Amino acid sequence: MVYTSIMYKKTTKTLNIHISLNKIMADKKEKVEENVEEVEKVEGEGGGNALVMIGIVIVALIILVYAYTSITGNAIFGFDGFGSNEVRIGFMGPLTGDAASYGHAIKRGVEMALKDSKLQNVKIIYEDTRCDGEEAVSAINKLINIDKVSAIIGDVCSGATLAVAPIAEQNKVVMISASSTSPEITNAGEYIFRTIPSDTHQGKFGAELVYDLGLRNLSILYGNEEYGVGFEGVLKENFESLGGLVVAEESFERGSTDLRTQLTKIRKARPEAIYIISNSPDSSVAALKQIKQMGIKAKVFGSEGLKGPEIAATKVAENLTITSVSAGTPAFVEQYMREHGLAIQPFAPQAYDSFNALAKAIQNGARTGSEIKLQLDNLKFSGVSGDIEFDSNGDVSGSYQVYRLVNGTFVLADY
Amino acid sequence: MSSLLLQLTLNGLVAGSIYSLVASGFSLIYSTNRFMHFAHGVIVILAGYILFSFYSLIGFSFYYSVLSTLIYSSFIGFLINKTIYSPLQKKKTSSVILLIASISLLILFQNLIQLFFGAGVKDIDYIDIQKGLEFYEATITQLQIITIIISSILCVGLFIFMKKTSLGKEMRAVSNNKELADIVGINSSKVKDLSFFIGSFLAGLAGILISLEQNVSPSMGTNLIIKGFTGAVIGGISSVPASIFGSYIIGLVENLGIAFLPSGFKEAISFFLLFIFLLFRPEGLASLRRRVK
Amino acid sequence: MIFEYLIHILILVGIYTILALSLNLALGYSGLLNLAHVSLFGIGAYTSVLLNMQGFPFVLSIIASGIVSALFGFILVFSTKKLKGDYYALASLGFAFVVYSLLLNLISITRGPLGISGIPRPSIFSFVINDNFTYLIFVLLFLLITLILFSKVVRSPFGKLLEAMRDDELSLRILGKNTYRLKYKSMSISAFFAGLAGSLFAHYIGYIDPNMFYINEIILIISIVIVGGVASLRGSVVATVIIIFLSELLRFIHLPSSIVGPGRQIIYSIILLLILMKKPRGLFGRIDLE
Repeated sequence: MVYTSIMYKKTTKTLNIHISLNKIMADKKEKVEENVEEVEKVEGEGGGNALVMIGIVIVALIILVYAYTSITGNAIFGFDGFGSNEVRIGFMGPLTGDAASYGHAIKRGVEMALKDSKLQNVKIIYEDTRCDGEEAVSAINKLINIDKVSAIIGDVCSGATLAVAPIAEQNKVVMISASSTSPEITNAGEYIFRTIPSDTHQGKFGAELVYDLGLRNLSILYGNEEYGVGFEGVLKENFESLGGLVVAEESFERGSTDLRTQLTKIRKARPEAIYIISNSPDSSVAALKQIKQMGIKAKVFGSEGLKGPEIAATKVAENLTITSVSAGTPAFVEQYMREHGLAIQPFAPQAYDSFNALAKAIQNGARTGSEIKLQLDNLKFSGVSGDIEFDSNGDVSGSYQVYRLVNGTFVLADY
Repeated sequence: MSSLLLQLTLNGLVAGSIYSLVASGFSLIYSTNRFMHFAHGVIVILAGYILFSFYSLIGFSFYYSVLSTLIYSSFIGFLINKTIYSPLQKKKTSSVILLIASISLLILFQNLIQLFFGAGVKDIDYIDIQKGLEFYEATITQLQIITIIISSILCVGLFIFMKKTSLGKEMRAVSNNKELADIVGINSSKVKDLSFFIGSFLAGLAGILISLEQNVSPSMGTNLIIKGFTGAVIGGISSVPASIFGSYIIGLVENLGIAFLPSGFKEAISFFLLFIFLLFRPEGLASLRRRVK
Repeated sequence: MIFEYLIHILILVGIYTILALSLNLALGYSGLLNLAHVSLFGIGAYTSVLLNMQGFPFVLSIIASGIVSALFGFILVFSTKKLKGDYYALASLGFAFVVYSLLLNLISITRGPLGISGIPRPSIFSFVINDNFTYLIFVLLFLLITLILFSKVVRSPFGKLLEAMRDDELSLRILGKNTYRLKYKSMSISAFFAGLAGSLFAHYIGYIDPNMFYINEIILIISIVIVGGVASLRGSVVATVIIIFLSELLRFIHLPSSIVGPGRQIIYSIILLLILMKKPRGLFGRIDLE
């Protein structure tokens, strides 16, 4: 009896709830339907308003851009009426971001070469790519489609160069890099050149250097991008073929400043030498500091990316040994110091030569990308970073030097 | 192998301390206001930049710079609440909107910093680099030890604060039931303001230690708040001591995990843990204690 | 010259509009606050690229990209079934991070941070869409199909059910509707189109890496949908146009790239904050975000 009454109460309760919920739902449905009617009215008007709005926005934009270009004489619309004689060259590299010091060094080299060449009909358009593949793609699309460049000096970082090489190739625009050393670039295309040797050579040179110093256990700390991966592979291959042993290989993300994890694993392997392959000064500095903090007792080597002022300023980097490409002729080094007040920076000589390669092609009458390419295929001259002659892949051969950091300056070492 | 594990454990404790410094402020703000203040991460980094500006750029003394940083951070956090979150809350927007607003603030501040200071890393050259203290082939630097100590003190201190002091209790009251707290006579808006003040003060502290230890770059804020948030979720986001505890767990798991995995997977470990916990135990480990009771 | 650039922007607008529309279906109409939408975009991109560069014809690759994204969308809904409100949003954010991690670390498949370059333009029955103008038509075709399909869905009984679910899931369940199935369906459609957009994007830009589908893009897409207005297809279209034009304008007027990069993000976040604070309905939204 009690049970049934409870059940009865429960069912009534549920029923009541159900009924009230139904009512609420019905109410809501009504409300929603009202809303929909209202909104459809509003939307109708809103639709018209939207079109007018878009129209106004677009017209405003166009007016704005026209005003801007006529005031600044920008070439977006071809308003400055450049003569058909002008050759436009693009520059792609990191002008901001952690690799900016390389970008600016190369920019200086290019500007020096432009000035020294005394060419009047060449215009350089600079794009900042921050060593990022995506930025590089945006930049090259703009350079090719809007600025209509015939050639591009860049990119600085191998990863960015490889990302855009197919685009340059397809559009028959010459790309000449002063600093991209990844072995992959050798096969990147007919229009892809460089005035810096591929890391297949530096890897061999570095391996021999370490081996010749009597060190047999090598650990490698490398940046996880095209440059680092390429170099690491060649270094390891060469070192092992000489008879050495690579006991640890650790990679880090570009810009990462906490390398303790990687260094912990490296330390465990007890290497006699650590080779740092990095084109990110922030990471290089962090690595050097943390190596000291963790008490890793190995001889430290670095690729040419470490031959920069930030590293020189790092007090703990004393005795760092760097393998580097040519630092330029003494005359060029002196000119650089005179004009910029700075000690010669990596890749500036190579940048000077890359502009000059293009300049010589232009002086021979080349204007378009294909014409410049044909000229470069047969070019041979003596540049400030060495002899420039492109092989069938657009590569140059080169020599390397060894530098040691002594008292905050990089000193050429015998090797 | 054991020296490797010892070093990784130490690394984990250091990482855990850093994350817990971030998580503590975040959790304090969440537990009082009941929404996620993701922009907390960028206050941490902003503090690092303020320290950099005062100490390395302008050249004020170190202690003056530290003090200013703490004061400025607290104020900025307080201002953000006053100008963005409070107005939104008055309109009774859901915590999801507040979440999105806080993420927008995070992106906004991060990019403002990048605009003004550049995207590179800034070095605060206060500590000399030298080899750390060593035991059993594992090294740890003095600054790292100090960080661990401060973080532990914070853990205990905040625990006492939340449980014993009247302000702490008021904060918990407001978070539990704002209306009731108002009725009982607690000035809930003042309590909320204070929570932002104190939480951002903690962010400032975190920023100072982190920037001394690792330097600062604009994108660090996002990374830190993700880790701090993960730690808080694992520990129990509404309890400050639990969040700190959870952060240590993240730090340790991350670092010990890469003994077995390639180093690149360190971040992935945290993300996976975050996702798993959000799916299966969003209240965090702290809820286990309550269930046992 | 300017026309080339205009075409470039319009292609981006087209692709992002498809992305915004698909997110609006999940977020605006179904109430699924999916912060991982950009991951579905990325998964579509990678799927299409990996298949296409292994030799699969483009048509198959793009369809596969839609299907694989839909699968991941399904996984997302499945794993977050029991969550509500901000926990759901946060779990989807966690999902986005996990996907990012996978793209970054499974180097043998995705090449991780090295990215994949040299992605070929679509080739359909040996007709290669090489020039940008044709690509624009191609994208607009997809956009048209998407718009028509979505309009139909939104006005259909299914669409009404989705909106009812967004407004009051509990009542809908009491009335006997299987809301889980609704969520799966809605998310699958949303993810499918996100994947398609990803494929269109990858084959246009020619290069992808995991960073292109991470936090910056998440904010961009959420901004578009919120600014355009929740539950309004028209709003998504208009908002995409405005926001993409604004951000590309910065690059166009030759501001130094150090300003363009953060400048764009600043614009998105300020617009988003303003809309959230002043006009949470967005431009054309019908419902306040609740």
